[in-house]
Amino acid sequence: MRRNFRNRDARWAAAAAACVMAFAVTASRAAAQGCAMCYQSAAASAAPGRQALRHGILLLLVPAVGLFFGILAFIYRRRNLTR
Amino acid sequence: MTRSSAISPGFNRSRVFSTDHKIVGLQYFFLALAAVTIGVILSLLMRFHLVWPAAHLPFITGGIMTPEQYLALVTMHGTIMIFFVLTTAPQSGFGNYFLPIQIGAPDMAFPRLNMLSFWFTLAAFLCVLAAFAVPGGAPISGWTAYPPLSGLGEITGPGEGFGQTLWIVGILIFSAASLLGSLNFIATTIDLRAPGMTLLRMPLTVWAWFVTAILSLLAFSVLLAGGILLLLDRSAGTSFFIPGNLVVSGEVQGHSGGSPLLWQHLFWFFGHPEVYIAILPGMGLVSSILANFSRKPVFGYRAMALAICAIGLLGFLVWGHHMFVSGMNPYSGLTFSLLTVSIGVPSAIKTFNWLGTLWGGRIQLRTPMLFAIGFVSFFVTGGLSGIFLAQPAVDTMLHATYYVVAHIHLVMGVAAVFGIFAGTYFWFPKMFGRAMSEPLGKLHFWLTFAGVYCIFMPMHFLGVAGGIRRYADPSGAKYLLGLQPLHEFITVAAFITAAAQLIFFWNFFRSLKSGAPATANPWNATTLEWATSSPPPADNFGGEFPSVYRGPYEYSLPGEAVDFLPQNFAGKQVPQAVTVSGEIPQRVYRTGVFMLLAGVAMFFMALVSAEIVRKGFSSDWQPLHLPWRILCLSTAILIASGFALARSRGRLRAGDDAGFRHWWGITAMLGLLFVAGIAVAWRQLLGVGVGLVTNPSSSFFYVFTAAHAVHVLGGVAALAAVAFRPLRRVSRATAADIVSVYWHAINGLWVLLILFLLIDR
Repeated sequence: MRRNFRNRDARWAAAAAACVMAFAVTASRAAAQGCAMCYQSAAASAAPGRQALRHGILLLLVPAVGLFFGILAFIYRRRNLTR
Repeated sequence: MTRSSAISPGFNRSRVFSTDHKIVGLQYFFLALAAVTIGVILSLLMRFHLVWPAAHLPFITGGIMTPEQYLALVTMHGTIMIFFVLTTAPQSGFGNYFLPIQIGAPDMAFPRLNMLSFWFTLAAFLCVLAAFAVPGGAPISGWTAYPPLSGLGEITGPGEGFGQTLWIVGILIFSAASLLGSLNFIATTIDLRAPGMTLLRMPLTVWAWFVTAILSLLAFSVLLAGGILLLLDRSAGTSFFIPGNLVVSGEVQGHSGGSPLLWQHLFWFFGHPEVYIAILPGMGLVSSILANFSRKPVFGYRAMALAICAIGLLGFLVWGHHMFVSGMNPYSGLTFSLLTVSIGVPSAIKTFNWLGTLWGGRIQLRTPMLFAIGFVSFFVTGGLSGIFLAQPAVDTMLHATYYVVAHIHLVMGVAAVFGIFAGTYFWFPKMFGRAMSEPLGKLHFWLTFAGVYCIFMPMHFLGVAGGIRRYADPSGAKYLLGLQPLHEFITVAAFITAAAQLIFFWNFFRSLKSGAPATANPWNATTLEWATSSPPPADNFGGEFPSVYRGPYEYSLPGEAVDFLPQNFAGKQVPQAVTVSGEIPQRVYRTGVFMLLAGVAMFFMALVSAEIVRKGFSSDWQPLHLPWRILCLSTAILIASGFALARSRGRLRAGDDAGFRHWWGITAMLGLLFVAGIAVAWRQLLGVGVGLVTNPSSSFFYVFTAAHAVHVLGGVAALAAVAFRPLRRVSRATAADIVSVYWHAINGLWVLLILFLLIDR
């Protein structure tokens, strides 16, 4: 019985994974037909500019996410520590 | 070390400059009430002008509104509502009042800082309002203050002179106030919880205020950095955001190579979390109210707490969706789009759990419950329109139309305001010891609920039909003429809805004076604020601090005689003996300084990120020949100060007070010497003709070093305070500990900055 459940779960998991894959495949097409103006504008900018923007975005993103998790970890460490 | 806020003699100390978190919370609440009144009047003036553009209006210079005056109203309405109402009331107002009580604490962790953040916020509000009164009037660049319009001065239009400068200064002060407030919220939640108040026993309001405080801490640091750069562009002539060869009114501007896109990134990195800063407290509050008036536990409490954290986290990852039409790499657009859509998952968890809480409950449609249900309705409606805007291709069409206006107002504005109304009706008995009128409250709800949908549902159609926002007179464009009847309908609905708010004001102020006296727990609720009198005493619990024995939403438990079990109800458990009562653990100061440093780190990361983007986009970047000799010497001095500080703490541990003071003083002197070294480096650069505006690399060097020097001077001030002022609440060991954590972190930051400048050469 348990084995049947496992098989059924595996089938559901495989179906869900297939759906995610299908979404991923269609998503890349959607990007191509997304925004012509954005594409033109980005293509017109110089390579160092595009690279700088990527790095700039990451430099904002990574510390913010790191600090967010850090503060959550901080309160988790003190989860049972009260006044 | 009990709280001195319990003893606050005199009117000034007890009501005006009080450090009691309840008074501070009420001050924030009344500030938001004043702000929302002004904000609504501005919006009514705009709506009236859109329909009858030739009409004479009150408060308008010259009687008939000019397009620039209309844009000034747009700017000020957005600014006042977003910063001084939606950020201020649910987090700073309710949060300040109820967070300490709900976790069983006597006050916030840092009461003086709390008072200071309110007065900063009031100063910021007055500063922004003063823009109306200066020559040229209020700024016209919108609440997003996009450069180049906001960065060039009055040549770009009335309001862009001193009015815009006042606006920026006001927002900088507000950012500083929010940083102080948020580190206080975080430290309070982490360290001041009552015995038994574990994380999974915290009410969802506390979870929401906590996560909102993290968002504020990290997002406002970035706005602070961006705002300083924008102010320098305006007043010092730097070129962080202003592109080169810009011609305005026939004149070529003297700026070179800046990137307006950089401001957009910095602004929206703050701006999108700001949406959640406004809405998350409402989510927590609505969860509590739905449970209370359904007499059921919150459905899926853990999932709700996790969803709050997930929404907070994802809120940091999606700012790019505000910039789909800014010339973004399509793959960046795709990433931001997918992340934006993924916020739908925790949002859906919350929505389904709210419905699950209502399902099968004994629903009592009291006024707070009606507003809570209204919140859910607006959050869902506004959230659904957001899914369309998350698609870059659709957003390109709908950008800058009334569709976006309708979306933001429903999901961020009205939903959050309904949360504020729900909180006001729910907590009014606790805050003032009197009850508000139920019939008037229900009338207020139904008129507002219907009115808001009449305003904002048609506005979606205006947007889809091509109605452009920020046009002062839409009848000027032929293709928009057909939309005027819809504008008229919206304007009439807006006036009726605004009039309905008079019912609220009447109910509120009449009940303050002559409302029916409220009991300690009029709603039969479970969280700790209902375990104390209405209004609560100065130390919140009259000296008998509660212990917590159960979760926050234990309603209708089978086998119990009553349908609610307060969190402090021991039941069959043996009550814990509370020995610490109103004492504040010393570790809270260390937590506070860690949070301060997190904000400082984000501030400097924003500056570093700005330099990298500015350098990549510019054609005018010149390598800077820095005075390395003096910089290396200054670095050595700062590192030496770290060793002196360590020595000083060693002396303190050994009980050698004279030795402690000696090395402590040397640390401060070395800090001042470091600042003097930076001043010498500046002098050398100026001597060879390299000033703040010479080129972008020199601009960044001056900004980096000035910002760091200010932090070092702050550290010197802290060293002096510990050495010379008697410490009332903090032991000397704790004070030395937190100052050294700060000092070493600032030293480490300088080393990283120097390495960055070295690599960047």
